[in-house]
Amino acid sequence: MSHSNTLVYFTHNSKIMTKSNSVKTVALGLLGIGLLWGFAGAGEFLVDLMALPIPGAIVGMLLLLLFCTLSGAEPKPTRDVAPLLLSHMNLLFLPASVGVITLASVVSGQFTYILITVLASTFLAFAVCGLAFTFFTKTKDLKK
Amino acid sequence: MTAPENAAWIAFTVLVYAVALKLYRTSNNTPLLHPVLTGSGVIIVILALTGVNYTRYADGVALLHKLLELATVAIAIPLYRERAKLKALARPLILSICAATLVNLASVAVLALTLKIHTISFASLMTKSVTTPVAIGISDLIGGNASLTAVIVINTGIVGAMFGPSVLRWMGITDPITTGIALGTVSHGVGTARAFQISTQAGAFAGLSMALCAIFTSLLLPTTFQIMFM
Repeated sequence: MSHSNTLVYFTHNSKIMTKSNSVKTVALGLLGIGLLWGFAGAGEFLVDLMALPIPGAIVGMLLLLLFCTLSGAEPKPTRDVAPLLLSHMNLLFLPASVGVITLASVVSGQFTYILITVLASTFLAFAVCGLAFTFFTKTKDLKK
Repeated sequence: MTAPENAAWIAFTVLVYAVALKLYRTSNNTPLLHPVLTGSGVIIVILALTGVNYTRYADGVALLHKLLELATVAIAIPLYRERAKLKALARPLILSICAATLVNLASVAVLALTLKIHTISFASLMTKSVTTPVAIGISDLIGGNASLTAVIVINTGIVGAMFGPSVLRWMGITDPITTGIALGTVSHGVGTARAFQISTQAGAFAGLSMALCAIFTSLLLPTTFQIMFM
């Protein structure tokens, strides 16, 4: 099983790739996947090395951002493949989401309470985040 | 576990996703038909009917899980494209992420203590707004359960992606950047995926907010939780 199979599956769902469905685009996309893989690996390595409490992928993201900033341009291979991956992130959450079937015993009758807590705190956090950002951008504009 | 079987599980998951996505788009993005919700629902039913256990399925689609890491790295690209706007909004961005995260954690703690939720579930709930891999790491430190954490995190993502933008709209907030920040801060990757459907700019801000929330929470939560509850 190589990752090229998955890219082909992805392209079926994508309007980006079908437009210019040439060998060159696919090759560039694969190179982009390889590049992202490299940065993910580098992030993982740094996290292990420095015993950071954050995941390798987040550090990989920051490394790629640093790379773009330092080189003054985004790498060509990821131009199409990055938006493609990002527009289908929901597919990539399915494996973890299906894991809910393993949990009946852990939750043991408190399912409703857990659900209430998730719902209430999530709505509240959304409200606070929206209000705070609106407030802080306004106060900034006033200073100008 | 053979390679053809893995390929078949991946093809099956992609197919279910494609149908779920089609349904979601045809229904004009109705929150209740969010593809993670309907997609995993269908997969769960099929696994139950065929008697395949979760471990076998999860092993089969491990590659999709790996691609999630690559997608996380890929968020750097839209972030770079939005760098000018990002720089200009850095201060309000960081302040609102910290405010939302503090309120989020405090409200979970108050609710969990009021409802007398078991310690394992309580600890798992505290990491609900952090991207899955970080959440599991933090949850381990404070006495949570890894799979419960993953499921709570994913469902916080789904709830936020489903209803978060509506909550903001009720308060009169429709700005895509603000919505993106809230989606990333509160609903991590699933929220970020939702934000990318609003606009690439909203997605870029969501991605950054997700990262900042993860960093802020992993610095704050383990120590605070241990001092207060352990």
